[in-house]
Amino acid sequence: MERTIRSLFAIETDIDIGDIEAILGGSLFGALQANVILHLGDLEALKLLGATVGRPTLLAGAGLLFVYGVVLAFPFLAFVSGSINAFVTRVIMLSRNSSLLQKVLVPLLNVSALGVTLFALGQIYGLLVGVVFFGVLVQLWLLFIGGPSALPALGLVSLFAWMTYGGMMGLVYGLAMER
Amino acid sequence: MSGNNTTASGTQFAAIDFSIDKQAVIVGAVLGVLINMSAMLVPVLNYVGGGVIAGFVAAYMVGGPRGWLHGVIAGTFAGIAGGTVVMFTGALIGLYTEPPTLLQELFGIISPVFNGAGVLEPLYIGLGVAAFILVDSLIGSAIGGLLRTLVDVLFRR
Repeated sequence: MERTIRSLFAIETDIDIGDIEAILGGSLFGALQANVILHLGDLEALKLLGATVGRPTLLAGAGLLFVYGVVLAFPFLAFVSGSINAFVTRVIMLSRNSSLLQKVLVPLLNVSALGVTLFALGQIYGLLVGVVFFGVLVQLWLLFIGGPSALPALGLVSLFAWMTYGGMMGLVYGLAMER
Repeated sequence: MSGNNTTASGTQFAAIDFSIDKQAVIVGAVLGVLINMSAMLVPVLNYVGGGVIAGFVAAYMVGGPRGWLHGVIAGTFAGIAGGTVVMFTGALIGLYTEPPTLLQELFGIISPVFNGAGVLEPLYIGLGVAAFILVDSLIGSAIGGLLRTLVDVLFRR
Protein backbone atom coordinates (compact mmCIF):
# COMPACT_ATOMS: atom_id res chain seq x y z
CA MET A 1 0.00 0.00 0.00
CA GLU A 2 2.73 2.44 1.05
CA ARG A 3 4.73 1.66 -2.07
CA THR A 4 1.60 2.04 -4.22
CA ILE A 5 0.84 5.51 -2.90
CA ARG A 6 4.46 6.68 -2.79
CA SER A 7 4.97 5.61 -6.41
CA LEU A 8 2.31 8.15 -7.44
CA PHE A 9 4.42 11.06 -6.22
CA ALA A 10 7.33 12.58 -8.09
CA ILE A 11 8.40 15.27 -5.66
CA GLU A 12 11.22 17.65 -6.56
CA THR A 13 12.62 20.01 -3.97
CA ASP A 14 14.35 22.45 -6.36
CA ILE A 15 12.33 25.54 -7.25
CA ASP A 16 12.50 26.57 -10.91
CA ILE A 17 10.58 28.96 -13.17
CA GLY A 18 7.90 26.31 -13.74
CA ASP A 19 7.18 26.22 -9.98
CA ILE A 20 6.93 30.00 -9.86
CA GLU A 21 4.57 30.12 -12.86
CA ALA A 22 2.40 27.40 -11.33
CA ILE A 23 2.23 28.99 -7.88
CA LEU A 24 1.44 32.42 -9.35
CA GLY A 25 -1.39 30.97 -11.43
CA GLY A 26 -2.64 28.94 -8.49
CA SER A 27 -2.57 31.87 -6.07
CA LEU A 28 -4.49 34.13 -8.45
CA PHE A 29 -7.08 31.41 -9.05
CA GLY A 30 -7.38 30.82 -5.30
CA ALA A 31 -7.71 34.55 -4.63
CA LEU A 32 -10.48 34.71 -7.25
CA GLN A 33 -12.46 32.02 -5.41
CA ALA A 34 -11.85 33.70 -2.05
CA ASN A 35 -13.00 37.01 -3.52
CA VAL A 36 -16.26 35.46 -4.71
CA ILE A 37 -16.91 33.89 -1.28
CA LEU A 38 -16.15 37.13 0.58
CA HIS A 39 -18.34 39.14 -1.80
CA LEU A 40 -21.17 36.70 -1.08
CA GLY A 41 -20.78 36.45 2.68
CA ASP A 42 -18.31 38.82 4.37
CA LEU A 43 -17.97 42.26 2.82
CA GLU A 44 -16.52 43.62 6.07
CA ALA A 45 -13.47 41.38 5.69
CA LEU A 46 -12.82 42.88 2.25
CA LYS A 47 -13.14 46.40 3.63
CA LEU A 48 -10.67 45.53 6.39
CA LEU A 49 -8.22 44.30 3.76
CA GLY A 50 -8.62 47.55 1.86
CA ALA A 51 -8.10 49.50 5.09
CA THR A 52 -4.56 48.11 5.35
CA VAL A 53 -3.58 50.68 2.72
CA GLY A 54 -5.96 53.33 4.00
CA ARG A 55 -8.81 52.60 1.56
CA PRO A 56 -11.59 50.65 3.30
CA THR A 57 -13.59 50.00 0.13
CA LEU A 58 -14.73 46.79 -1.57
CA LEU A 59 -12.77 47.58 -4.72
CA ALA A 60 -9.50 48.15 -2.85
CA GLY A 61 -10.10 45.10 -0.67
CA ALA A 62 -10.79 42.85 -3.66
CA GLY A 63 -7.70 44.11 -5.46
CA LEU A 64 -5.53 43.69 -2.37
CA LEU A 65 -6.80 40.15 -1.89
CA PHE A 66 -5.15 39.28 -5.21
CA VAL A 67 -1.94 41.06 -4.15
CA TYR A 68 -1.80 39.38 -0.73
CA GLY A 69 -2.73 36.08 -2.40
CA VAL A 70 0.32 36.25 -4.64
CA VAL A 71 2.64 37.39 -1.82
CA LEU A 72 1.42 34.62 0.50
CA ALA A 73 1.91 32.01 -2.23
CA PHE A 74 5.69 32.00 -1.84
CA PRO A 75 5.73 30.86 1.81
CA PHE A 76 3.40 28.08 0.59
CA LEU A 77 6.21 26.77 -1.62
CA ALA A 78 8.44 26.53 1.46
CA PHE A 79 5.55 25.03 3.45
CA VAL A 80 5.00 22.38 0.76
CA SER A 81 8.64 21.41 0.41
CA GLY A 82 8.95 21.14 4.19
CA SER A 83 5.80 19.20 4.96
CA ILE A 84 4.70 17.15 1.97
CA ASN A 85 6.75 14.05 2.83
CA ALA A 86 5.51 14.03 6.43
CA PHE A 87 1.97 14.60 5.16
CA VAL A 88 2.15 11.69 2.69
CA THR A 89 3.51 9.42 5.43
CA ARG A 90 0.68 10.49 7.72
CA VAL A 91 -1.93 9.76 5.04
CA ILE A 92 -0.40 6.33 4.42
CA MET A 93 -0.48 5.52 8.14
CA LEU A 94 -4.14 6.56 8.34
CA SER A 95 -5.12 4.60 5.26
CA ARG A 96 -3.47 1.44 6.66
CA ASN A 97 -6.00 1.41 9.47
CA SER A 98 -9.05 2.11 7.36
CA SER A 99 -10.11 0.16 4.28
CA LEU A 100 -12.78 2.80 3.61
CA LEU A 101 -10.12 5.52 3.47
CA GLN A 102 -8.10 3.34 1.09
CA LYS A 103 -11.10 2.94 -1.21
CA VAL A 104 -11.58 6.70 -1.33
CA LEU A 105 -7.96 7.73 -1.37
CA VAL A 106 -6.36 5.48 -3.97
CA PRO A 107 -8.70 6.40 -6.89
CA LEU A 108 -8.32 10.09 -6.03
CA LEU A 109 -4.54 9.83 -5.91
CA ASN A 110 -4.59 7.94 -9.21
CA VAL A 111 -6.33 10.90 -10.83
CA SER A 112 -3.78 13.43 -9.54
CA ALA A 113 -1.60 12.50 -6.59
CA LEU A 114 0.05 15.90 -6.24
CA GLY A 115 -3.15 17.79 -6.97
CA VAL A 116 -5.15 15.98 -4.28
CA THR A 117 -2.35 16.10 -1.70
CA LEU A 118 -1.55 19.77 -2.27
CA PHE A 119 -5.26 20.61 -2.22
CA ALA A 120 -5.43 19.19 1.31
CA LEU A 121 -2.14 20.82 2.35
CA GLY A 122 -3.28 24.08 0.81
CA GLN A 123 -6.42 24.08 2.92
CA ILE A 124 -4.32 23.68 6.06
CA TYR A 125 -2.09 26.52 4.87
CA GLY A 126 -5.14 28.64 4.03
CA LEU A 127 -6.52 28.10 7.54
CA LEU A 128 -3.16 29.22 8.97
CA VAL A 129 -3.21 32.29 6.75
CA GLY A 130 -6.78 33.07 7.77
CA VAL A 131 -6.01 32.84 11.49
CA VAL A 132 -2.47 34.21 11.68
CA PHE A 133 -2.27 36.65 8.78
CA PHE A 134 -5.81 38.00 8.45
CA GLY A 135 -7.14 37.23 11.94
CA VAL A 136 -4.23 38.68 13.87
CA LEU A 137 -1.46 40.38 11.86
CA VAL A 138 -3.73 42.44 9.58
CA GLN A 139 -5.83 43.50 12.58
CA LEU A 140 -2.74 44.48 14.58
CA TRP A 141 -1.55 46.53 11.63
CA LEU A 142 -4.94 48.23 11.43
CA LEU A 143 -4.76 49.03 15.16
CA PHE A 144 -1.25 50.40 14.61
CA ILE A 145 -2.32 52.74 11.81
CA GLY A 146 -5.56 53.68 13.58
CA GLY A 147 -7.88 52.03 11.07
CA PRO A 148 -11.05 50.00 11.64
CA SER A 149 -9.82 46.82 13.35
CA ALA A 150 -11.67 43.67 14.50
CA LEU A 151 -9.05 41.81 16.52
CA PRO A 152 -9.26 38.81 16.31
CA ALA A 153 -11.09 38.59 12.97
CA LEU A 154 -12.00 34.90 12.90
CA GLY A 155 -15.34 34.89 11.07
CA LEU A 156 -16.34 31.52 9.63
CA VAL A 157 -16.94 32.89 6.14
CA SER A 158 -13.56 34.58 5.99
CA LEU A 159 -11.79 31.46 7.29
CA PHE A 160 -13.64 29.39 4.68
CA ALA A 161 -12.56 31.89 2.02
CA TRP A 162 -8.91 31.65 3.06
CA MET A 163 -9.11 27.84 3.16
CA THR A 164 -10.57 27.87 -0.34
CA TYR A 165 -7.75 30.18 -1.44
CA GLY A 166 -5.16 27.74 -0.08
CA GLY A 167 -6.90 24.65 -1.39
CA MET A 168 -7.34 26.01 -4.91
CA MET A 169 -3.76 27.28 -4.95
CA GLY A 170 -2.51 23.83 -3.96
CA LEU A 171 -4.75 22.06 -6.47
CA VAL A 172 -3.68 24.24 -9.40
CA TYR A 173 -0.04 24.06 -8.36
CA GLY A 174 -0.18 20.27 -8.08
CA LEU A 175 -1.96 19.84 -11.42
CA ALA A 176 0.51 22.17 -13.14
CA MET A 177 3.46 20.30 -11.65
CA GLU A 178 2.09 17.01 -12.96
CA ARG A 179 1.52 18.51 -16.40
CA MET B 1 7.26 25.35 -33.62
CA SER B 2 8.78 26.55 -36.85
CA GLY B 3 12.37 25.62 -37.37
CA ASN B 4 15.06 25.05 -39.97
CA ASN B 5 17.23 22.09 -40.90
CA THR B 6 20.66 22.65 -42.43
CA THR B 7 21.48 20.07 -45.11
CA ALA B 8 24.21 19.68 -47.73
CA SER B 9 22.01 21.40 -50.28
CA GLY B 10 21.29 24.40 -48.07
CA THR B 11 18.73 25.40 -45.49
CA GLN B 12 15.32 23.78 -45.50
CA PHE B 13 12.59 25.48 -43.55
CA ALA B 14 10.29 23.05 -41.80
CA ALA B 15 6.56 23.62 -42.07
CA ILE B 16 5.15 25.90 -39.38
CA ASP B 17 3.52 23.90 -36.62
CA PHE B 18 -0.14 24.83 -36.33
CA SER B 19 -1.08 21.92 -34.07
CA ILE B 20 -3.54 22.85 -31.35
CA ASP B 21 -2.93 22.21 -27.67
CA LYS B 22 -6.50 21.43 -26.63
CA GLN B 23 -5.68 21.68 -22.93
CA ALA B 24 -4.43 25.26 -23.29
CA VAL B 25 -7.52 26.31 -25.25
CA ILE B 26 -9.89 24.67 -22.76
CA VAL B 27 -8.13 26.13 -19.70
CA GLY B 28 -8.08 29.61 -21.27
CA ALA B 29 -11.72 29.50 -22.38
CA VAL B 30 -13.02 28.15 -19.07
CA LEU B 31 -11.07 30.76 -17.11
CA GLY B 32 -12.38 33.47 -19.41
CA VAL B 33 -15.98 32.41 -18.85
CA LEU B 34 -15.36 32.09 -15.11
CA ILE B 35 -13.92 35.60 -14.91
CA ASN B 36 -16.83 37.01 -16.92
CA MET B 37 -19.36 35.36 -14.64
CA SER B 38 -17.50 36.33 -11.47
CA ALA B 39 -17.18 39.93 -12.65
CA MET B 40 -20.90 40.42 -12.02
CA LEU B 41 -20.20 39.74 -8.32
CA VAL B 42 -16.58 40.97 -8.02
CA PRO B 43 -16.44 44.38 -9.75
CA VAL B 44 -12.63 44.61 -9.65
CA LEU B 45 -12.52 41.88 -12.34
CA ASN B 46 -14.14 44.29 -14.80
CA TYR B 47 -10.82 46.13 -14.93
CA VAL B 48 -9.23 43.07 -16.55
CA GLY B 49 -12.01 41.21 -18.33
CA GLY B 50 -12.55 37.56 -19.15
CA GLY B 51 -11.34 37.90 -22.74
CA VAL B 52 -7.95 39.21 -21.68
CA ILE B 53 -7.53 36.36 -19.20
CA ALA B 54 -8.68 33.71 -21.70
CA GLY B 55 -6.25 34.96 -24.33
CA PHE B 56 -3.39 35.49 -21.89
CA VAL B 57 -3.60 32.07 -20.22
CA ALA B 58 -3.96 30.07 -23.44
CA ALA B 59 -1.18 32.03 -25.15
CA TYR B 60 1.15 31.79 -22.15
CA MET B 61 0.64 28.02 -21.85
CA VAL B 62 1.81 27.56 -25.44
CA GLY B 63 4.04 30.57 -26.09
CA GLY B 64 5.17 32.46 -29.20
CA PRO B 65 3.08 33.08 -32.34
CA ARG B 66 1.40 29.70 -31.90
CA GLY B 67 0.39 30.85 -28.43
CA TRP B 68 -1.25 33.94 -29.91
CA LEU B 69 -3.32 31.65 -32.15
CA HIS B 70 -4.34 29.60 -29.10
CA GLY B 71 -5.29 32.77 -27.24
CA VAL B 72 -7.57 33.89 -30.07
CA ILE B 73 -9.24 30.48 -30.26
CA ALA B 74 -9.75 30.45 -26.47
CA GLY B 75 -11.12 33.99 -26.66
CA THR B 76 -13.53 32.94 -29.41
CA PHE B 77 -14.91 30.11 -27.28
CA ALA B 78 -15.06 32.35 -24.21
CA GLY B 79 -16.84 34.98 -26.29
CA ILE B 80 -19.42 32.56 -27.67
CA ALA B 81 -20.05 31.15 -24.18
CA GLY B 82 -20.11 34.56 -22.50
CA GLY B 83 -22.37 36.08 -25.16
CA THR B 84 -24.77 33.15 -25.02
CA VAL B 85 -25.00 33.27 -21.23
CA VAL B 86 -25.61 37.04 -21.25
CA MET B 87 -28.20 36.69 -24.00
CA PHE B 88 -30.19 33.94 -22.28
CA THR B 89 -29.94 35.18 -18.70
CA GLY B 90 -30.79 38.69 -19.79
CA ALA B 91 -33.78 37.56 -21.83
CA LEU B 92 -35.01 35.17 -19.13
CA ILE B 93 -34.97 37.68 -16.29
CA GLY B 94 -36.12 40.57 -18.44
CA LEU B 95 -32.99 42.69 -18.12
CA TYR B 96 -33.35 44.16 -21.61
CA THR B 97 -36.43 46.01 -20.56
CA GLU B 98 -34.53 47.63 -17.67
CA PRO B 99 -32.04 50.51 -17.64
CA PRO B 100 -28.76 49.47 -19.28
CA THR B 101 -26.65 50.13 -16.17
CA LEU B 102 -28.08 47.10 -14.35
CA LEU B 103 -25.28 44.80 -15.42
CA GLN B 104 -22.56 47.38 -14.80
CA GLU B 105 -20.13 48.71 -17.34
CA LEU B 106 -20.31 45.84 -19.80
CA PHE B 107 -23.96 46.48 -20.52
CA GLY B 108 -23.64 50.20 -20.08
CA ILE B 109 -21.61 50.34 -23.25
CA ILE B 110 -23.62 48.02 -25.43
CA SER B 111 -27.21 48.14 -24.39
CA PRO B 112 -28.20 51.68 -25.46
CA VAL B 113 -26.94 51.02 -29.01
CA PHE B 114 -29.41 48.17 -29.45
CA ASN B 115 -32.31 49.71 -27.59
CA GLY B 116 -35.45 49.40 -29.65
CA ALA B 117 -34.24 46.42 -31.68
CA GLY B 118 -37.25 44.43 -30.50
CA VAL B 119 -37.06 40.67 -30.15
CA LEU B 120 -33.61 40.59 -31.73
CA GLU B 121 -32.13 42.83 -29.04
CA PRO B 122 -30.88 39.92 -26.87
CA LEU B 123 -29.18 38.38 -29.92
CA TYR B 124 -27.45 41.65 -30.81
CA ILE B 125 -26.33 42.14 -27.21
CA GLY B 126 -25.04 38.56 -27.06
CA LEU B 127 -23.06 39.09 -30.26
CA GLY B 128 -21.79 42.43 -28.97
CA VAL B 129 -20.56 40.88 -25.74
CA ALA B 130 -18.92 38.04 -27.70
CA ALA B 131 -17.16 40.57 -29.94
CA PHE B 132 -15.89 42.53 -26.94
CA ILE B 133 -14.52 39.36 -25.35
CA LEU B 134 -12.85 38.36 -28.62
CA VAL B 135 -11.19 41.77 -29.01
CA ASP B 136 -10.01 41.58 -25.40
CA SER B 137 -8.55 38.16 -26.07
CA LEU B 138 -6.46 39.57 -28.94
CA ILE B 139 -4.75 41.88 -26.44
CA GLY B 140 -4.41 39.17 -23.79
CA SER B 141 -2.97 36.62 -26.19
CA ALA B 142 -0.44 39.10 -27.60
CA ILE B 143 0.79 39.88 -24.06
CA GLY B 144 0.72 36.20 -23.00
CA GLY B 145 2.63 34.96 -26.06
CA LEU B 146 5.27 37.68 -25.76
CA LEU B 147 5.69 37.21 -22.01
CA ARG B 148 6.13 33.45 -22.40
CA THR B 149 8.73 33.98 -25.10
CA LEU B 150 10.54 36.46 -22.85
CA VAL B 151 10.44 34.08 -19.87
CA ASP B 152 11.71 31.22 -22.06
CA VAL B 153 14.61 33.32 -23.32
CA LEU B 154 15.57 34.63 -19.87
CA PHE B 155 14.94 31.65 -17.60
CA ARG B 156 14.73 28.47 -19.67
CA ARG B 157 17.68 27.04 -21.48
